[in-house]
This record gives sequence, structure tokens and C-alpha cells, in this order.
Amino acid sequence: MNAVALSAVRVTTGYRRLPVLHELSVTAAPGEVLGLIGPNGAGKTTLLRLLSGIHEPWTGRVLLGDQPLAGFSPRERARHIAFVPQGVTIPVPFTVADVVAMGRVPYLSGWAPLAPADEAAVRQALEQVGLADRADTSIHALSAGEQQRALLALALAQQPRVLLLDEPTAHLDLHHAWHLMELVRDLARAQALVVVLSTHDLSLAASCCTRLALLEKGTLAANGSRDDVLRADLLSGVYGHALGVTVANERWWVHPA
Amino acid sequence: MSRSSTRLRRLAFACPLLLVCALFLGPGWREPWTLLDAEHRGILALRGWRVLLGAVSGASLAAAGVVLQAILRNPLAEPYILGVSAGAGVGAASAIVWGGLALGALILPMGGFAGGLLSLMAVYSLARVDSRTAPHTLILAGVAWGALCSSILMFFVSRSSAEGLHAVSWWFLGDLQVYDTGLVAAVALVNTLALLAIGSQARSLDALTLGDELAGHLGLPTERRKLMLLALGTLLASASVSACGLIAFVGLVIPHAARSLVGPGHRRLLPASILLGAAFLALVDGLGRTLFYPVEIPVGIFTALVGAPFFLALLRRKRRDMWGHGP
Repeated sequence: MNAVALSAVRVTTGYRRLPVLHELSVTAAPGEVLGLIGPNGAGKTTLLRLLSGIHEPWTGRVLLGDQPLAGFSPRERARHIAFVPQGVTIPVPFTVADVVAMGRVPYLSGWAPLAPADEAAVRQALEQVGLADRADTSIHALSAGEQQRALLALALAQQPRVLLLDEPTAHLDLHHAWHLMELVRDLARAQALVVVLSTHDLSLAASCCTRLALLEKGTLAANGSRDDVLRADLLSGVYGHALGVTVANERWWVHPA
Repeated sequence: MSRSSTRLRRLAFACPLLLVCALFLGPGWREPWTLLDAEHRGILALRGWRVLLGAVSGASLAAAGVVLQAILRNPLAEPYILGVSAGAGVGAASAIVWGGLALGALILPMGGFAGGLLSLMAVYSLARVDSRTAPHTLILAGVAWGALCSSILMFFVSRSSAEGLHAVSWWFLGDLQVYDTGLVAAVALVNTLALLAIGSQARSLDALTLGDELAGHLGLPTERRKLMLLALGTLLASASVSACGLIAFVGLVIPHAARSLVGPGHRRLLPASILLGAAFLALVDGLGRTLFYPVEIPVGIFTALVGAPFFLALLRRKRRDMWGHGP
């Protein structure tokens, strides 16, 4: 599995006639965790969906390595790019292992049973997120934090090169949010995964993302290390609220000024 | 995991046995061996067709329920909810009322499928907003469409001659009497093919229960796949409606029973529902022939007696508990 970068090149897109992203370019490299931050409606989710290939740009291109994503079939795409959407609900009491095994859908035909390779991928994904001992539990018996980890395992079972997470820590308490983010950061490093995630928790993003991209009304207001992006004047302008940034003990806090 | 596959294996063994039992239910059930006498061959053959129709309809309605529940992500969905059954009823009843029977009995499933498909397309396009279809909008549209079709059926009843009236009101009851073996054979063939096609999409059905967004990220052409599966489910329900009228609640009760036995994964849920549905409808019809002999109770009355309380009990549960708790 050779590691490749994922990039959007001068993309403009939106829904119906309503533009959301405008001439935006961004690249995420293997092993790094790119955090998309910005106010509600800035275009974070749209950018993620665009990077996943499920939403097509009006103009511009999305490239995986040097290949345009538009040239991939949906199934091919799902073998390279995994996406954990926000607010997934699983109505049916599948077991955790059942849910994670759905990550193998891009590799399986309609009726085929799981091959040993699929079983191994599922087991490995469960181990990576620390849910191996809960494999036969109903997904409904898990806490919100565990469910989010199960969805992460589903994505990992796709054996992707790119992992996209839309607000993975929403609705999680402090402990579970940190645990998940550290897990994602370690996975990115260990497997040379491209990880792009969106979040509203700027302090968490500052600590766990290797790079930040600040979106404002569909364009990039800033893109770089936390020192470049988490500046009080910049954030205050973008969020329309007086904000301060405090750094202590290697930890960053963004707070109202 | 292994427990649910054991259960599926037991079902695969027990359900065909139950179908054989159903063959011997009816007048003369106390002396089943007499049915094998040479002079009773005709009765045995007729019973055979009737059990086949019950098995095919039961399996079809149950599988249609499984498909609709998965795609609408709604535990209360079944062919009725989408207005598919009522639409198929209108299609087939129009064929009767306008004298289509002169063209042969196959006009019934054709009319039924046309009505069912038209209903599906109407409901789907009514519920479609921004090239996407939200589950609850689809259900509301289905309920409204079903009400419309029911009034059209009532209109036929109020307008038609006495003979036609009998034929139309029969659609409301649901009955497994075999009037035309050719019709039963055609329905059996078409529905077997549709069941195989749905079976080949078991993993798609699994993924679609996670929602359109995630299913799309798993590489499914979501809208197209949903339309295909809905059309196959419609075909199953319409063909069965055209051969035996509106049989209520089988598409609701059987998938839930099967889910509680083998879990929600469609590679087991589909075959389990097909087996259970087939055995259930054929057996219940056998009871209808036997219990109040010489009066035969139409099978639709029995399924409604079982299904309606089940539906109400399901309604009273919390939404998440409606799916049961797995095996």
C-alpha cells in the first residue's frame, strides 16, 4: 500500500446553484492529520465530501496522488477513501463485528461470505480501536464514545489510504474525545494514512492535528501549523467574536477574550 | 454468530416439513393418508397448487417487507405503507372491471404490477426533494397514496355489477383459492427470480441500513441501488396481490420474527424470512380451511388478526426497540 497525498486543486462547488466552496486548494500528505476548522457553514463538511469523491466539484479537481478522483468507480474509490460521516445512526441491532464487517462491502460481491482476508481486516480494525472484546455485543449496547470508535473501525476495515472524519468528537465527553483524537493521530503516523477531519474543538485540534486549515465562507483564511493558524486576531475576525489564545505546558487553549 | 446460523439451518429443515403438513390440512385432515388414494389425486393436486401459492405469496410478502424496512430504515414499513399493495389492487381490479379477464388470467398480475410500479414511481417522486428521498417523507407519501388507491377500489365496488362486485371485494380480503394454475405458476416463476435477485444484494441491503451517506461512502451507487431494490420488492408484492388479493401484515410480522431468530444481517435475514413467510401463510391458510369447516375463512382475515395487534404492540415501543434486540 503506497502512501499518496490527497489534494483539491482550485475547486468550486456547492448544492444546487448555491456555491459553498470557492476556488479552494488544499493538500493532505500521508501521516499527517489535517484539521478543518471554521465557523458553522464555512464549508468544512462540503470540503470533506468533495475530498471523498462523493460530491463532485463544479470546477477544479480532486487528486489522489496524481490520479483524478472523478476517474474512479464508486467501489474503487471506497477501497482508497473511507469516510465517517457525522451523526450516523444505526437503527438495527447489528453486532459490533457486523458493523465493522460492512467496511468490507467495497471488496465483496452481494452474497459472498467474508473471506479469511476480510475476517483478518475486521479483527485488526477492532483491535486498533480497542473493541476486540466487544465484537459480539450489540452496537446499541455501546456508549457514544465506543460507537464512534466502532465507526472508525468500520472505516479502517476498508483498508483505506485516506481517512476522512466529519466532526468525530461531537457529542463525546472530554476523555473520549481526546482518546479518539490520539488514536487517529497514532494511526495516521503508523500506517502513513492521510487523515482529514473537521472539528469545532479548537483546543483539541491544536493538540492532535499536525496541520490546521481555517475555512471562512468557502475559502481558506489560513493553512499551516497551529502557530500560523491559531492567532487571536485571525480567529476573532473569522469567527466574528473576540477570541484569545493561551499556550501553557505545550497545551493550547482558544477562549473568549 | 454460530447460534443464528444453527437456527437458520433448523428453519431450512422445519419450514418445508410444515409446508407438507399444510398440504394435509382441510376437510379430511383426520385421515391424512386417504388424500394419497387414487380417487383423491385431484384434491391433492388442487391442495398442492394452493400450498404453492401460499408459500410463494408468504415468501414474497415477507421478503418485500425485509427490503422495504431496510431501505426506508423504518421498522413499520411493508408493502402497504408504500401504497404498493393498494396500487397493485387497483391495477388488477381495473383489469377485472374493464373486462380484461377476456384476455386471459395473466392480465391480473400484469395489471397488478403496472399498478404497483406506478404507485412506487408516484410515491417515490412525490417524496423526492433535491434528488434525495428522506425515509419519513416517503412513508407519508405512501400512506396518502394508499388511501387514494383504497378509495378508487371502493369506487369500483360501488359502481360495478353484482358479479364484478364480488371479484373486487375479494381483493380486500386476501384469499388463496386457486382459480387458474397458469397464473400461480407464472407468479411462482417470476417471484423466484426476483427473490434470487434480491438475495444477490444482501450486502447492499446491510450497507443501506446504515443510511445513504455511509452506504455511498462504501461504494454503493445509492439512489440507483435503492430504486432497483424497491422495484424488485414491488414486483414481489404486486405479483402476489394479483394472485391472492391484499394479504395484510405478513410483510411486517415475518421479518420481525426472523430478525429475532437470526439477527439483522441480510445474508441470514432474507432466507429466514422467506422460509418463515412461506410456512406461515400456507399453514394459516390450512387452518382457515380446517377450523370452521365447511366454511372457509379467507387467509387475509387470519393474518390481520395476528398482524394488527403486533403492529400496535410495535408502535408502543421506543423507536430503537422496534427492531428487537438481536439474537
